Amino acid sequence: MSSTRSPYRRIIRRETHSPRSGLAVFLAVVVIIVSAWVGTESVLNLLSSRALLVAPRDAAHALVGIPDLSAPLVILVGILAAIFGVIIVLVGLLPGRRPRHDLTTDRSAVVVDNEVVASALAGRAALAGGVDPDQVSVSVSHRTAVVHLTPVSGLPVDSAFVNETVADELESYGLRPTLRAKVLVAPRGEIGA
Amino acid sequence: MNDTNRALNRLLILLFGLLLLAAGIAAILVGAVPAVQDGWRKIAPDAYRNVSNQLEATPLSGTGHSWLWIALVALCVIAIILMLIFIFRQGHGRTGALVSEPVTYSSDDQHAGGTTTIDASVAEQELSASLGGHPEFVASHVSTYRVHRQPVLKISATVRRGVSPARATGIVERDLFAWDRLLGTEIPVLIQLSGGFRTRRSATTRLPEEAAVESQRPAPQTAEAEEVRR
Repeated sequence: MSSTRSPYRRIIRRETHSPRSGLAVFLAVVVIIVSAWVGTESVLNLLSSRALLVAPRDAAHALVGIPDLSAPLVILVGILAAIFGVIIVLVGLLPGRRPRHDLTTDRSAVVVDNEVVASALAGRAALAGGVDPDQVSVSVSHRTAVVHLTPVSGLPVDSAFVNETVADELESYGLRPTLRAKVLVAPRGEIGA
Repeated sequence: MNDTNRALNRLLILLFGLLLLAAGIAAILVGAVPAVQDGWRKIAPDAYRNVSNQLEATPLSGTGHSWLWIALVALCVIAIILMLIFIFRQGHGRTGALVSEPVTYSSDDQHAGGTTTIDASVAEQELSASLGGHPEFVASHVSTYRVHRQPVLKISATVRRGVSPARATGIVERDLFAWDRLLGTEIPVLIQLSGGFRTRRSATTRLPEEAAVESQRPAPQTAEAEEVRR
């Protein structure tokens, strides 16, 4: 049987990063619109008809005479274009990580949404802290899982125990990249939870 | 898991971004730096004249215009076609065949052969059915893709609130092993566990039994408290 492992690396990488299809399709549409316009203007020019928006001759004249246009306007347009250019370049370069983690086993490639991990940890932390699950909120990022616990007034929470429980739970999952647990117990409790 | 050419996506995005950035910087320089303005005033009219000469030197018989315009229109059409191809090539890669094996029989007098093909829908329906029986999953969906010329199953499961990902994986893999035994070979699999916990109205799970045994507070009390509040 051919190796079942080699597609997993590619699959996990693709499932945990954005494909950037949205922006790519949007820019392709922009190129289509601009090409259609340039083509139309050229055809109209050939037929000696009236231009749709700007005739090629007028456009060329305007291009030659840019230095004589109002300088602040040109600079403003330049800044806007540069800003959008930088943003687009960044989107193209940055990894675009999805809020997921890798839980791959020997048999299958597995990706888990961060919110699944968060809700599981919230349940365990609530049990360990002796509070209602509604008093716990967990946020999971790429490397850290932060557990916010609001205790019941009058009933102290053993935060070391909660910390240990959450850390053990995380280790039992075997997620990649490994998550570090951070437990924050609110200083002020809530009544009657 | 589909076939989208992600490198191409990013390449085009980078190209567009860099062009836009270059144009922006050029505009800023022309607007702000006098030396650049003077340079432009010197070079631009010459460039304009060169282009005009080119257009005059390439007449299209009888029309008084250059055929370079037609070339430009052709370029525009090619660009549009390329972009359309690019757009529609996003995201394919689903496949219908799971296993396709040539089979040959031979005995003393005869040789016979053929191909055994197992359709992907067999795996999809079988796994969907077994996954549907588990309370830990709100929904599940199985599909088949082709990765590196190999069929790969994708099992997407929506996990109930509070269920640990390790447990969910274990459950799926148990069903998967049963399917492996049935099929006779191991097909590569991607398991995708998602949550969908945004709406607060989704049913809260009862606390799992093993956790209830370990906890300080007895489970029934907590379940009651939840019911009172809801």
